[in-house]
Amino acid sequence: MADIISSVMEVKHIDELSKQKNLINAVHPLAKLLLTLVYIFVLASFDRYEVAGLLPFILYPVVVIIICDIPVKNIFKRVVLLEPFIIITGILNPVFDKSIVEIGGVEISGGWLTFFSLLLRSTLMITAGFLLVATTGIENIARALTLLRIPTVFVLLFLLTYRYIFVLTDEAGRLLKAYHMRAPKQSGVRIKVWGSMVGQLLIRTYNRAQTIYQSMILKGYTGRYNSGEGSGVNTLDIIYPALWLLFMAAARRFNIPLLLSGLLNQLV
Amino acid sequence: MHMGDVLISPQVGGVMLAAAVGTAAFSIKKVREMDEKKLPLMGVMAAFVFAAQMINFTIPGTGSSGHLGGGLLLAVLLGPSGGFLSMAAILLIQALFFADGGYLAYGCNLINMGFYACFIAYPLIYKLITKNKLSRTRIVIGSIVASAVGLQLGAFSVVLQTQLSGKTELPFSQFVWIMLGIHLAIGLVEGIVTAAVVSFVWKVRPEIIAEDAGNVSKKGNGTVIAVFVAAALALGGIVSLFASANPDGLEWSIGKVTGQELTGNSGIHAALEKAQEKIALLPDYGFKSDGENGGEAAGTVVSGIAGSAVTLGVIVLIGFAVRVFKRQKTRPGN
Repeated sequence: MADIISSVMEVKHIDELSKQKNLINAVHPLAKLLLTLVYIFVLASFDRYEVAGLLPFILYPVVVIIICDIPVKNIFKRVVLLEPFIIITGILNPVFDKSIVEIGGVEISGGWLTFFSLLLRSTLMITAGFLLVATTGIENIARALTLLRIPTVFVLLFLLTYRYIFVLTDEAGRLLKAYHMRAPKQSGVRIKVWGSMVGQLLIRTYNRAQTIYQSMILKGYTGRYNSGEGSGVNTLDIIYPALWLLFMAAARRFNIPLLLSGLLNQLV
Repeated sequence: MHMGDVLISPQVGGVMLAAAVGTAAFSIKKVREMDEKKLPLMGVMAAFVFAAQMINFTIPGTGSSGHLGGGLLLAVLLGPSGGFLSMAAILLIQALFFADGGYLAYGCNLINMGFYACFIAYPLIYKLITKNKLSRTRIVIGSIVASAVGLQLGAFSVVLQTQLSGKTELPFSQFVWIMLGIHLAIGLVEGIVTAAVVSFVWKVRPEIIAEDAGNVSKKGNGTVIAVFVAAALALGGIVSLFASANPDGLEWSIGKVTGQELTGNSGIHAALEKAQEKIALLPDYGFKSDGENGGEAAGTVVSGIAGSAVTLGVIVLIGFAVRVFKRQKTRPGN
């Protein structure tokens, strides 16, 4: 449970990385959001047996991590946490797919190929998602959503939810701590108190929502979302995504590792 | 039940996203018609469900534990539209910040975890049972049955989406039974927790539960459901159209993939394979199909390994170059 609280707080840390000043953080949030979506989309469009063709796509996270000084450990820890779920879904592939594939004279089953492809792809996709947050931040993602014509009601809901996750996680954490201090030998919460425990939290939350609404009204809430910054589009906002899109298109169209292999063969 | 991007093909992801966006647009319209006071309530309740998900409940007699999913609870507290939008916010935050569920799979996840709970299980089961008279027994039965059904629908839909995407090898029938079995257990626990929470709140602050009950029953749920049944049918039609006519339009695959096992037993796979063979530019992994071209493959293909190594080497070099360039750039500033 302490793990969950710390992982929630770690997320806040990733969000705060976006406040640093650097080349990529300065790029328009909408450009980064769309770029991330294209990256994931292109990775998903590869054939499930593809492994070599995916390798060039490692360039994107490597460059972003270096330019933005993102602590690799943080991102890596979060990605590794999610790997087991992917492994579970893919581990049966070698069992069901018995086709034989030859790689450099070594025979392996096609199932292993799909498994590695799944693993590599998911790692890249998850990393790209975290990098979007670490270089853009919640406020700017909300701004990008507004620019995509997502209704204000939803954008506000998104921001409100994010804001209060930390408050309520903290509150739920305290509630649990109190429970476990009085029931030290239990691993979970007993059925007798399921309703009252979560119910109490719910009622407190409900009351809090009313206070929040009142203070929003007092501060002039009119149902609109004002993001503050309304910076226009500059050259960087065009060049940065354009370069990556070109790279991705090339890496998708041509299997770069295989091209290089051919080149090496000719040289040798 | 969160699906990641790897399991989803762009087509399935896209169609489900369109369905989710449509449902969200409808919900936003409904929420706008309601009291705007609901907005902070929705946001905070979504955060509440997020926080409540971390509380582990001991399941009596099993030694294992479970936690709340929250779809039905949100629908009970905020109505179908409010519940669905709150779920949309939760799932978006989970996808963005916790990588719990992918971006491409966002539509799938929202339909699987939000739509079924809020627009099917809540109005058709929970509401039906508690409509005439709100009592503890009715709340308990309604919550348990609605949660179980909602999760079964969601789990079945996960299987369908995964199969249509064709990214894993899991055989359909086994996958279905495993998913439905596991989610029946999860659904029952979810139902019991929801029942416990709703009946507690109903006892202590009845207006929180009753207020919404009155609010929702006035609205014509029949039309809403009719619209969604139509949407679901249309969706099924679109997916099958995609699947048969254009198996994988975005697969401009370069690798040459042949072999018996790959063909599968459906027309989709055969068509896909043909398309791939046609566009293939470079020899990829050499597939050994019963000795026919096995020998030749072994001789010629140093299959991509050297190239892959070079690619990774180049990436490392670029990384270093970027770092050096960055240091030089920042130095004069310091």
